[in-house]
Order: sequence, then C-alpha cells, then structure tokens
Amino acid sequence: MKNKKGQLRIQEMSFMLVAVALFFILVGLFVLSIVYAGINEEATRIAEDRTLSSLTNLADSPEFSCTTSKSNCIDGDKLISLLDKTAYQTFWPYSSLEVIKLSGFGKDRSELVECTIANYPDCDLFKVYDKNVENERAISSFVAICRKDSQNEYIYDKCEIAKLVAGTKLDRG
Amino acid sequence: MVKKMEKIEMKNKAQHEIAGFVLIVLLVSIIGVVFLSITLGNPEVSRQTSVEVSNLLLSSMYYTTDCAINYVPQYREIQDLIKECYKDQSRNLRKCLDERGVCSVLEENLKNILDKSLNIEEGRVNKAYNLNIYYSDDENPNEEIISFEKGVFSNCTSVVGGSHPIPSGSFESGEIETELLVCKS
Repeated sequence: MKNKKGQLRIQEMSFMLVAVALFFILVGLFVLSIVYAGINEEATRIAEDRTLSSLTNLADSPEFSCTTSKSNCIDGDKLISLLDKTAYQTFWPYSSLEVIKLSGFGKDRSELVECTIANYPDCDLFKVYDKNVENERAISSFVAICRKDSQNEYIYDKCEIAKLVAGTKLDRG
Repeated sequence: MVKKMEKIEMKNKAQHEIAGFVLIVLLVSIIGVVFLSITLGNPEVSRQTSVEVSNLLLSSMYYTTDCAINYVPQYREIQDLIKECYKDQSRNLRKCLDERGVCSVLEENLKNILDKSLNIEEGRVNKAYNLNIYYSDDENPNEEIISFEKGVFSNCTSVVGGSHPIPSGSFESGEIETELLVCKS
C-alpha cells in the first residue's frame, strides 16, 4: 500500500516537473521568436546592400567612370560607345546591364526611348547588353550620369540622375 | 480515522502543489506581459543606413541645374546651389542670372529629382521622404538651410536613410550636411 502511494507521488511529481519544464520551454520559445524576429530581414538587407555596393564599384570602373573626380558617376559619352560591344557580355558578372536616365523614371518599359548614336542624348535607356537569360533578378543603384554639352561656344559638364540596373541569373534550387 | 487523516493530508498536499503551479504560471505570465508591453508598447521603427538612399543623395549632388550665377553656361550643380543658398540666407543675396532665387531653384530641382526617383505614393514601397540640409560648426550646430518632405511619416515598417557632407569651402569653417530619410511600407 505504502509502495503504491510512493509510486503515485513520484508519478505526480514527474508530471508536475514535465509540465513546468514544457511551460518554461514554450515561454522561452515565445520570447526568442520576438527577440530574433528581425534577424532574417536584417540579413536580407545586408546582402542587398553588398550587391548595391558592387554596382557602385562598377560605376567607378574605368569603363564607366566620369573624367572628373566624381564617385558614383557614369560618363554618358563613354556609355554610348559601349553599346553593342558584345565583348563586355563576358567581362562583367551580370546577365544584363542597362542604364535608365531620370527622364525614363516612372515610364513603362515600352515607353522608354532606347539610346543609339543617332538619338543620344535625347533618350531614356542605354542597353549595354542583355544575355536574355530566363531566371533573372535585377538590382539597381542610383548613379550620376554626366556628358559634355556646349552652349555659347563653351563646353561644360551636364550631369543628371540615372539608375544602373544589373541582372543576375538565379540558379534554380 | 487514520485513513481519513491521511486522505485529508494528501488532499492538502495536492492543493499546495496546484497552488504552487498556479503561482509559477502567474509569475511567468506577469513577467511575459511586462516584457511584451515594453517591446510592443512603444515599437521603435528601425532606422538604418541604406546604400540605395546614400547613392541617390550623392548622385543628386552632381545634378546640373538650369541656374547660372556668373555666366551662361556655367550652370550650378545641386551641391553648389546648396552653398549658394546658405550664402543667400546669410544676407549675401544670391540669384541666378534669370533673377530666380537660388534657394527656390534648389528646392524645385531637389523635389523633382526625389519625387521621380523615389516614386512616393500610398501603397507603394516608399511612403514618404524627408530631406534636411543644414550647416554645422562649433558655434551654430544644425543651422537649417533647406528642409522639406513628401508623404506622411507614419506607420513606417522601417526608415532608411543616408547622409552626405559637403565641405563649405573657403567661405566658412563648418560643414554642410545633407540627410535623406525614406519611410518604407
């Protein structure tokens, strides 16, 4: 009889311990989920910032950079000569590369006037190259785009804002 | 009689255990409620530096406006107009050759750039922006040069921003700071 009572008490105690432990685990999980809720978001933001920094480096590369000592600045006159140069498709690690001028912001893709030697600088979109890959993710960064202009027989730098858009091929996992 | 006493004792012990458990649950619940009210009660909107916003701010500094002060075509960049606007506010009246005030041309150009670039609208990614340009030195901390915003800065899931310093050059010892904050939804 005493043995049975003892067993019952041990059982009772063990149930109690399990219940308390479970309760604390649940509370702990709840607290952790609140504290670390923003970690994934933060990781994504950092990764995006890194990619954007790579675009800034691209803008500062000799092929694009302005002749004046301005960082994050693309030379429009260099850019127009880069169009249709297929050699650059393998030079940069992007599946597509284009520059959209401020005049093209907010316009539909079909409305954008593509830049050629003939219509430069009255255009919106410089298509450097496009490998036409299927699964592509585009990243963009703001840059200044400058070109030489003239008025009253003076030559001066005219700078605008543009978006440097680079596509990267996504591997299907 | 002894059996009855034992039964009552067992019941008492069980009651004590239940009371103890309830006490623990209550205690943890109270701590939880206090913790939640602190974390959720005044939710601090995360404010981070964004490469995108910093790049926009930096690029807009180079934007060539249609304001020439000395001769055409010496058109001033935004960063030059900011300095000219500061001079203008320091009672050194500055105007473009076409008689427009430098500060109004500066504001007009900056608004045009930011409105087109950030595409502010309710329901879009960017809900609002706030641009603040001020001059700072030892004597005058944060002396406002120009400041404006678009959209409503409320219920932002996050606020991203960037800043860009402009050395005020030969005319002053301090620095001009430009700050752009964007409210994301």
